[in-house]
Amino acid sequence: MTDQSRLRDGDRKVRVHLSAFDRTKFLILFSAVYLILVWAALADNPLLSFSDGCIQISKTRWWLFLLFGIEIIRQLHFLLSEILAPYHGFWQKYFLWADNLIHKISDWNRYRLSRVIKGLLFVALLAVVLGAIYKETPVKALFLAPKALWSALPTIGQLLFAVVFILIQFFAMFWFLSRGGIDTYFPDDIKTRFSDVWGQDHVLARIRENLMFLESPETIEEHGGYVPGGILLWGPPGTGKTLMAESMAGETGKPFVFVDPGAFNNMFFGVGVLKVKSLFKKLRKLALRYGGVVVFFDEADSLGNRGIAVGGNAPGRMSLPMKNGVGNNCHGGEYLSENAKNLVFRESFVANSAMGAGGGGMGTLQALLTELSGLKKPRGFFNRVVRRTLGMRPKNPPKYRILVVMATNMPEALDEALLRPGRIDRMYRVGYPSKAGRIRTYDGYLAKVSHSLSAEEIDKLATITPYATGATIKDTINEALIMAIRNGRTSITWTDVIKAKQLKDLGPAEDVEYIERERHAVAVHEACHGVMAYLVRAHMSIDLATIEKGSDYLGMVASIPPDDQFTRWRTEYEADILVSLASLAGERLFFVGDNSSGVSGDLESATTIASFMEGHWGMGSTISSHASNRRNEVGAPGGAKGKDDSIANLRIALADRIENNLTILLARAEDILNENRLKVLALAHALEIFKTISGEDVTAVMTGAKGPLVDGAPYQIAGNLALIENYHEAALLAHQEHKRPSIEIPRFTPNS
Amino acid sequence: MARRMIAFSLIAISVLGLSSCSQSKIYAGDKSSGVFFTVPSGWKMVSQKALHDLQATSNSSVTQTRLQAVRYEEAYSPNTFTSSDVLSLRTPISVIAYARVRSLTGDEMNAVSYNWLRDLVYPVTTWINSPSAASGFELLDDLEVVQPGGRGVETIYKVTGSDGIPQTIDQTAIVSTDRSAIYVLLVRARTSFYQKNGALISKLAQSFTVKGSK
Repeated sequence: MTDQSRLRDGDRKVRVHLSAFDRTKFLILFSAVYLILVWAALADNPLLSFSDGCIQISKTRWWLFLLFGIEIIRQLHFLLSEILAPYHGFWQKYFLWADNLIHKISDWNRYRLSRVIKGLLFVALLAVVLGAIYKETPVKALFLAPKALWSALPTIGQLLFAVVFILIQFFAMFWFLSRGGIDTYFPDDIKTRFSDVWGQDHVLARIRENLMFLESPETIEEHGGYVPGGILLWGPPGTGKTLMAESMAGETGKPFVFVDPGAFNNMFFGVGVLKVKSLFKKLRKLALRYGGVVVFFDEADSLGNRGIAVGGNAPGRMSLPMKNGVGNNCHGGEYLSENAKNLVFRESFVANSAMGAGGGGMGTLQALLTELSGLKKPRGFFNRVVRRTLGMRPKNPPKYRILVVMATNMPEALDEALLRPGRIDRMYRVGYPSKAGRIRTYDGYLAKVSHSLSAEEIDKLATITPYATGATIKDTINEALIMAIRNGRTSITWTDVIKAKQLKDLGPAEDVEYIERERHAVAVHEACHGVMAYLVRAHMSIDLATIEKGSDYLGMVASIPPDDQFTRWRTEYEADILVSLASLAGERLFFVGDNSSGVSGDLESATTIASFMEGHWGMGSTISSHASNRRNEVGAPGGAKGKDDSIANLRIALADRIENNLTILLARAEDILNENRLKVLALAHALEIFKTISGEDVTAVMTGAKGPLVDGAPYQIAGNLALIENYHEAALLAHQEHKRPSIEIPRFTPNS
Repeated sequence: MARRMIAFSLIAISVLGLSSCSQSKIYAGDKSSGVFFTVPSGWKMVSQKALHDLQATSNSSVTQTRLQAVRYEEAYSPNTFTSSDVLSLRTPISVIAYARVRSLTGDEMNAVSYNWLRDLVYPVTTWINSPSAASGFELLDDLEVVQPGGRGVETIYKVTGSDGIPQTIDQTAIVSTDRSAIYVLLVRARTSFYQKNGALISKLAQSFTVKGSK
């Protein structure tokens, strides 16, 4: 290896050697042309010999030999420059002089000169070719060419027509393909109003504000602001996003353009882009004519994303997954620095979202992004071309007031660029309605039917349906009406609504009759859940308990939160685990160490919650987040088993810690059930008798009060409890011996 | 380096050599009419224009009609000669080769036969049947000729002209496949010349190739 640099061209004594190809390429080309000409001559005259053909071409195409000779001289010149330093020096000096002379001309003039020279060369070449064709001198042939062109015009016209015809076919095909999927509604076409949207008043207030700016833009523009151009409505399905958009269409005095979710899906590349362009052309036209337009993209996640997360240093904004992910946990992550927020978002986005979702694809999204906030360029043929031709400057585009509204239940599937200010300025979460909103929604739908529900009952209904959306409330009321009609009534009662709710929550019962010992086992299993839930789970109320078999369960105890609650605590999760583990603890307690496979679902729930408590939520013995550790591949805290010092004990593996926690909670559940053995058996008895009971009935059994279905008083009498215990003993024996219990289940009258 | 110089020298010599060489024979004929033949290098030519100009002076309407139908005609001879030497049928000093392509009239198309082709210049078929009718007539050969562009006959015979000098005529007449044109090569030689240069004249006649007009 040498550290000498490669010589500059000016420092060389001799010219750099040409490669064999460079030295011979033109000679090979001329030879090839010569041989082709000879071949053509031989083909013309069947008597011509090859040697005579060569001679004939040499005489008739003398210019080829002239070029050949010039190339040989050129190559000889190069060869001498490669061999002889003085010769090379002389020529370099000459060329340097010529080069300097050329560069004295300004760049622009040199460019124009070169264009003129190229043009003249082209004309000269054309003259030579035409001369060969017409068998005339090149100059005369050049003057004959226009005549030939004139005579060839019909043929050229035919060719042009053929080209235009083909283009028309393409235009027509793409025009037809780029239609559809876009509906335009004009004011008063739609009857839905904001008053028809219930339970989302806070979002409606914001949307009303946007519409106000659209209809009176001067209120903000006069003060130096601009009309917000984009709104994103996001939230769980069925919460009324589309209805909200529909009400916008009804409320606004501007045209409303509805874009179907699949409008941009297409078979051919470019059709999606055409659709976007034609959509925005239409929007601009409507915006100019009516002073504004609203466009609504339903299921906006179908637009897809390009798989790009926000940049690590992007300041200021955070996308919805960030707000969704962090916001639900603790103060929305707002106390973090911007960089920290971006980093956390990026990590969670990469881990949780499907990157690069397809959507419209093939440039459609990019076209949409460009149209939403692209270059504000002059538009129109007249404006751009004709005005410029006449020496007039194109007019700037007018202010198009287009309000873009998008709705999605998968905000993480949207492209980051779509959500930036200027495209989507405002993002509103359309969540589950508040209790007040649910009451309003129930009132609204119940007002459309005949019913006998009191205001208290409606309030209670709203309480026991915390995650009800407009869609589910509408469905429940309709189901209740169907039940009333089935029973020969036209008016809905409280029982109809509750049964409709159970049907929607649990699905239809399979109407399976258990054998006695199995019925008792299922009842004890569910009673353990019920008693544990009643005793330890203060943050949830029992909604119902049932031992009627459903499609994927044998029985269940369903709970609901009595209040709208947004934070969860360790004690609450522990209570949840206790309720889950109660089935295993209870089966082992009441069936002498035996337990069924029916506890599998409960154990899965308990383990999942315990895992999150230990690894994610800071509710275990360690602090670091398992999710973060795993993503960053730093390893989880954990040491060898069996060490007895307390520090090391804290550092045991995550799975062992989870198992330890579950074991401790299982022991607690066993203790609680042991202390409440008779209450469990009493609740199991009530379930065996009534199959499905409400939360109030569970309370009645536990307290001795009177519930809607179950009277709790008999379960306070010691004799009755002894009978229940005897029945359990008989059922236990039947379970162990696989036969019918020796005694029937005791039944109590109100006075017994 | 020496090899490069040798290569360049060879290329230069071959280029110069090719441009200074001359062809081994004259390639006569007409590409548009689809007729080709060769004559020895150095022969002289009477052009189509000279032949046309001479015929144009004729008062015969038949000659004029036929002249208008001529697509191609040329004549070659080793000696200096004129168009009247070609068209008068006088016995040449040595040899004259005359080729002609002419469109046929409707009547001629109907009349075309091998005998009609043989009788183009002299009534050869009549003389064959009665040799005494012509002075010095002798049929030397009579062959059918099949070419890509047509078919006809090659007739070689001796005859004594009005000047009393015997001449040998090698007459090839071919009618095109679509019967629209006739291709004729007439090689007339003084019999003494023919006897000495039979091979040369035969080669010339054999080179007559009809591809047909495109």
